[in-house]
Amino acid sequence: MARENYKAEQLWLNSFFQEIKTLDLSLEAEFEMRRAGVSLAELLDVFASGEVEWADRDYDGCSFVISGRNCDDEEIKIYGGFCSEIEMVSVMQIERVR
Amino acid sequence: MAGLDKHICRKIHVRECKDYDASHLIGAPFPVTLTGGVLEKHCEECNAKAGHILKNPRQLTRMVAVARACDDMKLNGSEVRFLRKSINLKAKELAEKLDIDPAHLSRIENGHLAISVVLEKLVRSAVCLSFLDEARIVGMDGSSILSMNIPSVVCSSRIFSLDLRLVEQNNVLHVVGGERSATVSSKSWKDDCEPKIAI
Ligand SMILES: [Zn+2]
Repeated sequence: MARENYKAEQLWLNSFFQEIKTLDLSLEAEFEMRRAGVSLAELLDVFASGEVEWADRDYDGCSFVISGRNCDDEEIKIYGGFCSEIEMVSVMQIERVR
Repeated sequence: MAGLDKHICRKIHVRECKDYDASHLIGAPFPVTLTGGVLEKHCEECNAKAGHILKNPRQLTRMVAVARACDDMKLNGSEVRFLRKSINLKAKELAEKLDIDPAHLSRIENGHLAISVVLEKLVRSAVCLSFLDEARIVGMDGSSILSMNIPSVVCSSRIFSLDLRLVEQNNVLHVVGGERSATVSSKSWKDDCEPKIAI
């Protein structure tokens, strides 16, 4: 699943991404979701089943790039961060890979 | 020159969002208005919007899907696609469940063919069976889908719209008043109905 370097991050993030309690969306991410036709359900499915492409852990969370596919097999990348203290997942930007 | 300095939004505050149009965010092909459950981020200095914060977003998407699935207004193609995606099924997988050819489902989703009453009841049931908890919260009874009286034609001037008033407690969204309101546009729809062949 995860790229070799990020197996620990994959395991750690998976537990939080299965049921996201609070989702923080930037205006840029919202705009791109609308432009690219990516729904909130698709975004959450990518979180639940995608793989960690890159991650950088800090003292209470992590920045990440997650890549996954929606039910129509279209690849979606999510650029964001996670704060474990308040259990909030932030989405800075998304990209539908054509 | 100070006047030309570009303002950078740094002091971001959040406030409760009222009557928030969430249809684009949820990807729903019908209007979805939310009060509660959504916070708006804005710059304290210039008041520019900076995005939104959603409480329990998974539950929110499920509630919207269930509310549409349980309303007896005929589903159009975009709504069928929305419901399929909400239960995370490939078109091929849903076609198999419905025992139809994937090309048939594609024609339905693209609006070239009206979905038959039998097939749309199966789609609605699949959504409710997937999200039983949300069906209860939205005040819907999935078992009544089979006895629904669904019109056989799509009516272009009638639009399903959803108005959810939510309150969040311990990361669980509840519907205020115990029910959701779904309305249709006020236009007369009899003259505008365009019958399509349903198979
Ligand atoms: Zn500002």
